[in-house]
Amino acid sequence: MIEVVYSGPLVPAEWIAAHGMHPRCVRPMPRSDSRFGPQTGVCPFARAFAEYAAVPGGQTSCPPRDSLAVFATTCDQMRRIAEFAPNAFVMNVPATWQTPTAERMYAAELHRLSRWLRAHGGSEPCTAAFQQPCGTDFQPVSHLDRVRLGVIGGPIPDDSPFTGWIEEVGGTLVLDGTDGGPRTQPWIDTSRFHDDPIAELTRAYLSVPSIHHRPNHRIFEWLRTHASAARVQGIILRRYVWCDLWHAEARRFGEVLDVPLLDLEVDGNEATDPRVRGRIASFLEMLTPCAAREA
Amino acid sequence: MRHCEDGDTRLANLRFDNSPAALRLWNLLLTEEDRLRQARAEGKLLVGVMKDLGTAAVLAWSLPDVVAFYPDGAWWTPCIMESNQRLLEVADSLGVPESFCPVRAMLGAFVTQEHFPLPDLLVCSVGATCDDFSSIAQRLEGMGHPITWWEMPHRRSPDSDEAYVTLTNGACVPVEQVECVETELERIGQVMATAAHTQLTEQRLREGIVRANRVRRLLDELRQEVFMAEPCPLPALEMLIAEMLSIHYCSDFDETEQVLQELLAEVERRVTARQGVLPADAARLFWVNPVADLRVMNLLEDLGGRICGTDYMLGHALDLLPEDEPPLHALALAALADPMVGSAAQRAERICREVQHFRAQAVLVSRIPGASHCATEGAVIADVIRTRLDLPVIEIEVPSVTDAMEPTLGTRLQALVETIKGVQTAC
Repeated sequence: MIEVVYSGPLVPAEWIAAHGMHPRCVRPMPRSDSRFGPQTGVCPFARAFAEYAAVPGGQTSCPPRDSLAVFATTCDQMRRIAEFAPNAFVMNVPATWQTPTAERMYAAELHRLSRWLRAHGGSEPCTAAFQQPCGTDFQPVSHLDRVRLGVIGGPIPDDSPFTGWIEEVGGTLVLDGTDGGPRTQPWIDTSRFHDDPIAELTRAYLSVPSIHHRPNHRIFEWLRTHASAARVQGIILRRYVWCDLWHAEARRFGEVLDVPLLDLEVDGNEATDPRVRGRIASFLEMLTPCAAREA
Repeated sequence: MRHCEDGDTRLANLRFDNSPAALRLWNLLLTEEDRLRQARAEGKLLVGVMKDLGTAAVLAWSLPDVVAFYPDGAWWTPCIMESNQRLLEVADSLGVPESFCPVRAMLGAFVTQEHFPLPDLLVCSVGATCDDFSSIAQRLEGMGHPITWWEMPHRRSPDSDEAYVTLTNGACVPVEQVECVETELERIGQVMATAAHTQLTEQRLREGIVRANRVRRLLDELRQEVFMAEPCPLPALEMLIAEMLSIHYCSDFDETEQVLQELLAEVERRVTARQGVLPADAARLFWVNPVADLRVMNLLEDLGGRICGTDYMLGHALDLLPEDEPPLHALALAALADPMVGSAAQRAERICREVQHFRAQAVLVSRIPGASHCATEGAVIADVIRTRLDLPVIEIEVPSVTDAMEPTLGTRLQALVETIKGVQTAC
């Protein structure tokens, strides 16, 4: 089965699967020693995904693979780094979401993606096998003696030690609001998908609260609601260096939430930089007396 | 002098063209805020059009008693006022620091309200736009300034079996993309008309397009004369300001037309008299992206260079709007021709054509600090230029005030000029 890799949360994996292909969401770990593409001003995650998509071996440290790649225009960094992966499909995801134009645009892109998939070995779309997943991959584990944390921001790489560090320093992750987490997994009505997959996917994916949307108030509403429901005691905004979309809203997140916010900027050194773990630990130290009082 | 005393202190460090036409140009630029306040006092609707640089303003200017301007222009305020107004510090305090483009000064301007009057209506293009501007505009909305957002799709080439149209810049795009933008322009046009208690008729739009083209024709003539003439008849600084007039006429359409006519007349007089403002052997450069510090235009010329060709991110505001198409369709063709909406490679193709037309000897890509598009476009543009034309290409970064790094910038510019002149001598 042909594999189609993507990283953008608004790329419809269900549609790729309906064409008899295997969709795989890839979040490669950024590497500070990567020499792929320009160096200054490029989001490390965008570079990592583009390198994965463009280089035959994925990233040069990976074994060779043969797969297709889909980029989404949900940020300018991804839109522009896609030029360095010339054989990839660039899905034009609208930034607006409330207008008929946005709906038509997303639907048109689904048709175009279908043509591209079929031109690259995919079958005519068949929705019969689709089943709405019962849950998400994220399963919060509640430890009464740990600080309850939420995380928002850009995608967390597959091999990132980030969530492990949270556990190591005494926290427990009870809310995942990152790109690629539960917030960005749309609910798709199975019967509507079978009847009219384009319309249902358009409805479902435009309903996902995304930081790139204009206006973007839904992401704040989502966070307030879910942070309250999960009884979050602190939020980490984990954003990549040069990611303007999340960075610009850091102040506003801090203003609208009732809990402390850690604004954590990460670059290609996350796996090896002790400062990231240290900042998480310091944040938890600050929260721990509050958590103890609540307990 | 009075503008200097009013706080535009950078003016004292700039070198201006010594002509009445140039003086009138600068006066037009530096009195815009006064005109906007006057328009407000007269009860006109002030529309802040953001990001698209040239198309939404044509819509707005087609309506009676409506004045459109780009609040984006506040990005030059820290330069012209040498940060006296602390607009960037205000942006810092709002959590939008120097990793963002200098257009963050716009946030400061909305907070302090000491520059342009707050618009009655804000419209902003979004989608295939730079992240920093999109984020800054969203912060504005979060601060209580409602914005009518409109979608600008990422321009792509048509598939082999797709119906397509040709844009004002010669690029081909699928019909569905033009239809998308046309629908969006109609929507924001109706929003403007409703706010102005009037109607946006096809006749008014046609007239607006004809008027816009008058300015565009003047600018085209000016660019052709200035960039092709030997010696250079008008400095780069005045040419930069003149090009910027194309996007919203500095809130005074009639004066813009007059200023450009006078500039053109002055240039034609100088060309006839073989009178130049720079040495005849000045190195011919094509400049990509506007500079945050206007002083750099002088610096280049001080070091022996001249600008003969530009892409200040507004090529679509210089191209003529089709007058034989339905007006909204014509505007959509122009909007999609925005060099920032498509790939950097497509942008580079147009740059190549203009480099050859204007006989430029090198290309300089000016990075705007923090601008998301500058991270990758320079490499793509350089690669295309070097491959297609075998010309030198350099990238420099120009912050809002370059005083501290002028020696470094000067060294790089001088090296480029010497390289060009070395090739000239060898040939």
